[in-house]
Amino acid sequence: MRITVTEKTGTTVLRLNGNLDTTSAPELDEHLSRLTDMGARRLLIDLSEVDFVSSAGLGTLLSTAKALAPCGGTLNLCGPNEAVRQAFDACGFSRIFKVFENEQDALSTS
Amino acid sequence: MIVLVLMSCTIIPFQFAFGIGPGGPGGVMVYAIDAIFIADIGLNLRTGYRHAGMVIIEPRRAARHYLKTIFGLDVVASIPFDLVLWAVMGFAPEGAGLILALRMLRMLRIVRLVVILRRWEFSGVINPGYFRVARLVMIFVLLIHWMACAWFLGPRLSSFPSDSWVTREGLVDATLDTQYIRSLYWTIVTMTTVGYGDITPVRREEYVTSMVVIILGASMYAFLIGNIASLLSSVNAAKTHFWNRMEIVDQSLRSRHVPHQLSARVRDYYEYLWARYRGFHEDELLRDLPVPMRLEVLRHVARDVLDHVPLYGQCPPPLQNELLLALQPQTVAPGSLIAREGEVGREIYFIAGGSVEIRSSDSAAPAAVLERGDCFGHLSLVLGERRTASVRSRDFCDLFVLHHAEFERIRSEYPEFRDALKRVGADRTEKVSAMLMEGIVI
Repeated sequence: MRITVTEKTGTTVLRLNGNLDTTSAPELDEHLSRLTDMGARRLLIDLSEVDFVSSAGLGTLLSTAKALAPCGGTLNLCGPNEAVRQAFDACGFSRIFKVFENEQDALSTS
Repeated sequence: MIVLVLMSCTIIPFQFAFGIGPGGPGGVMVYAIDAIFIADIGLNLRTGYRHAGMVIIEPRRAARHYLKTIFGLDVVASIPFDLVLWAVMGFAPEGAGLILALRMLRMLRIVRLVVILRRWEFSGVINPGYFRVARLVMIFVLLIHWMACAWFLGPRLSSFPSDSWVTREGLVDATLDTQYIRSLYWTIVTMTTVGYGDITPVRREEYVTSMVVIILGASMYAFLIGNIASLLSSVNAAKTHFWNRMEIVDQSLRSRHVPHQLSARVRDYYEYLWARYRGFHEDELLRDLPVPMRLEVLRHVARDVLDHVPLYGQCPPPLQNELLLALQPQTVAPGSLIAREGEVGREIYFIAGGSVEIRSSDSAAPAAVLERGDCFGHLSLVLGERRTASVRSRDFCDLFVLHHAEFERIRSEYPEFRDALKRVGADRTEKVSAMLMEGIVI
């Protein structure tokens, strides 16, 4: 999986490319841990280039959101395709994450 | 009305057999009943009727139907021809026989009894089994009464000759109730084939009556025993059918040497099914019904169970109908493996009763316990991943299963289904999140 990190209007944007599965989830986890350790508190993950998210990927997103919550940080998601959105719905992610249609919407709202 | 018909069928043969005139006991009652029946003819002309499962209430059609069916019989059975004749001739001895015979026309009311009983039988108000038993007993009692009347009628019509049973028993001048009780006694003794032989036929008409009573008694006896046995078993047809099936399963398990403990669990399962659903799930029994009617029944009978399935409650009525037809009820016994670790989920389970525990093979303690209102199976189904834990019932569980094909069909046909799933998912976020973080997918 290719992960591109950019900083936009105070938000750290991670653009993912590929599948977020058992293999790539630890890689993302590592990136997220490093960013939060460096003090990033507003994170946005762009999923528009992700075809599939496995349970391991969902677990990584969850654990990051949980780690950010005590220090007032947020993890938002944007651009999920239909399959990914369905996985989010099944897990009740609407309660935990804000899911936006695209990066622009996410940045303008946050 | 049924009581009046029964009174007519009892009093009139009694009066005819025992020679009681219009002024005698029960005479006034007979005419009072006549008056009610005449009034009822007028009423019947305006009363609706059932045809092919529909109630026809249109007055003209109702009247035409009545006129075409039993109107004629009702008229003949209700008009007191004997009273007319009595008024014309007076109650002279030579006219008494004819007057009494004319009264017997009221016995045609028995047709009305048949019509009423048939209507009751299909009304669903009374258990059909109990109804048939009651009808059979009523026919038996009426037949005994009629035969007792016939047994006395013979000697009376011959003016009690010295060799008739009434004279031999010294009953010619006995009171009416003594005469009737002795006639009834002989009929019952003969019909039930007890035959003490204290009262025997001597005269020709007595032999004829005896033969009829013996034949009737023997056939009624066989008919009664056979029917009551089958009727009593059909009084609770569902229970009989259910226990028969359980017996077959039990025998089959025994012949295949299934361990006793497992057989006992199967029996417990059947007992639970009986206690919970009085037999089988409704969808098995209602397959013959057209869909709208099946939905109506299912909505009614399953409402207390489906109330505990949040997804169902979250859906609008058209979607609820789809779910009613798509959700497969399933009852599992305690300790049953419902979903196995390593499988790819092909269905979502909704718990409507009982509880299940989720346990992965590498952990001794259960990862989670799900109860009524929870669901499982959707993560494996949606993510297309193998289950990383098994689901086992902790007690008897009532589940509703939504299979993958139905899930996909409903989801594509009803966009609102996705919203409902989202809301249900949101309500369960904590449980699902905890499991996901532990790497549990079911």
